[in-house]
Amino acid sequence: MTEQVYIQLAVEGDLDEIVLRKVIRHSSCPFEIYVCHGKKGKGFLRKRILQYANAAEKGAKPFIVLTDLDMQECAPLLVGEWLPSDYKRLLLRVAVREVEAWLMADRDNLARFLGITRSIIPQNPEDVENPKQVLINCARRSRTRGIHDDIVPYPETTSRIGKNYNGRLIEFVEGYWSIEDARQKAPSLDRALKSIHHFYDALSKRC
Amino acid sequence: MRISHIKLENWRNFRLVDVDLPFRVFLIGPNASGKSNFLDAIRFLRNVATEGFQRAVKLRGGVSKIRCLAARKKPDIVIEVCLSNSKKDSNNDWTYSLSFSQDNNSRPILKSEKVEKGRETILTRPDEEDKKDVLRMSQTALEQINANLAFRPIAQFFSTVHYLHLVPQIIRNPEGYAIPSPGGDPYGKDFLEKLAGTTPRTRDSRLDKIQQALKIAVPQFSKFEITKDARGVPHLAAYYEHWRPHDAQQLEDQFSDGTIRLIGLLWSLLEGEGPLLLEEPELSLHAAIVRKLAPLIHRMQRLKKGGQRQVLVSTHSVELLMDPGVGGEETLLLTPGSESTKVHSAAGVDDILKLLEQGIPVGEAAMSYTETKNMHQLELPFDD
Repeated sequence: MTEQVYIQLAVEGDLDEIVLRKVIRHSSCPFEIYVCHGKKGKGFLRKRILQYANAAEKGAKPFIVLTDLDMQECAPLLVGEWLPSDYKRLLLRVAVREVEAWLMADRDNLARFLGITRSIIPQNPEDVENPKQVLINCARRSRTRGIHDDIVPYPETTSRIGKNYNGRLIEFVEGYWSIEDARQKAPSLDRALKSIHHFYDALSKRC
Repeated sequence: MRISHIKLENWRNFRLVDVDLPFRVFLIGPNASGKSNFLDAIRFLRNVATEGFQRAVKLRGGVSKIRCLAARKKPDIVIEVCLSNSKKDSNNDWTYSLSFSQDNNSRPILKSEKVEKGRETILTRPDEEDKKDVLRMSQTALEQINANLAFRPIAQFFSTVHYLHLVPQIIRNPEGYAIPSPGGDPYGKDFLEKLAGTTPRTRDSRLDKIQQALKIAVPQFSKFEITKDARGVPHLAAYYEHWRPHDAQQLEDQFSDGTIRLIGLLWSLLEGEGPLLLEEPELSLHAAIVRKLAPLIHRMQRLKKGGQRQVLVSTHSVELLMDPGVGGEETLLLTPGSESTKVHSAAGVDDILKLLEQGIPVGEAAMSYTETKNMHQLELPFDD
């Protein structure tokens, strides 16, 4: 497994991009990421995905796409809706229910980073209905200076997240998040890693 | 006529540029990738034609400021442009090329100057006389009426290049600023003077068009006119609909930045025939207006009697390039490397082309490529 394969990413937002980049790096598949598209939310990604898939089929660099399941029933259903047929050069992975669940799955490091006790973080984050909200509630109890201020929305704001929510969590992902620990508690992350391997194998065989 | 091709060597942050230029060009790239420097090469030709080679170099701080840092062993700076008429007959195309460096006393010195028309060579320098008298190489033939007779249309064409980077503060308060700038008045210092100096018929016809556009873009706007104060200084007066029986009047010092910029932009598109270089026309404008700029520029290019006018636009705006009518071939992508910036047509990058073929607009397909690698770390230096 040494042959380098150039790929493009498409994601919902900045945090997802950093998470996906780190997951791909962790897979140790020699993917070289060319560019990252999207970053305008989930609706936009949904609108674009067939165009990405068709561009890839016609010879553009293959795509890896990451989206959140949110309140939908299950991941295969979402994939079937977004991609009615099979595309060999586009891999769509779904975080159950939000990418924040993957971060909370590394309880030890996240507890240390947020400055909270480990037990506040849910044990099985993929069972949580609204991981973003749960993570924010964890940050509410933070003893670390700046964490509360950055991650938790101010009272009376219409925003659901704090003013530097992405920035702080990106800092966590890049510096502290252990994917090996997280995949034990986040099955959708574990499956994503495995399918990234398969994707690489399939692409490099065909090259 | 338009500049259909440009080749640059060692010009500012470009080691080598070799690209086609259609009638409408959008330059995109990260901050400091060289969008303005690219436009400056075209302004330079204007300066050479109108003010002379020595002055054109001096305005830019000398050869060492112009020469690309990646250049090795002080090689020559080269600018070559191909000028085409809209017709497909290439026998009437002109090629003008200029290379220069500096002598031991840091004085700018020409290395060569060439003019071709179709396949015919009109001028090649240095010629025999240049070899006899080295001082001759301190001036181009382009800038001399006695020497450019055989290619006067080129000199005239370069002199019509217009560069615009309007600064509303300067229009509001022209006395407060003294900014020397190569090539005319890009910041709008005597914008109002120019407006007032235009023959009334032309002026009124232009203002009428601009007025109609402003009525659509600016809420409550009803009309505007040129007035003069007691000292004879021209002013723009705008009237806004109001609950009072008479519309409320404002002079330009009360206009919003967006209103001033829109007036300036539309005026410059209506004025002049030669290539128009626009720096970030999206500034201060509402996104809904910005989305309309590309087709608006197109329509105004077509208004010209002498054939389409060329417009080159530098932009950071995704919105501006979301118009589905913008082509990949019209968009030049500036990619900074460790030593110099490369310039490609977006349609020439296969992966962008594949997305464009799927109907994804240029703004989206190509703009992702202008993000720098570590953009997400921007907040980090400001941590407590």
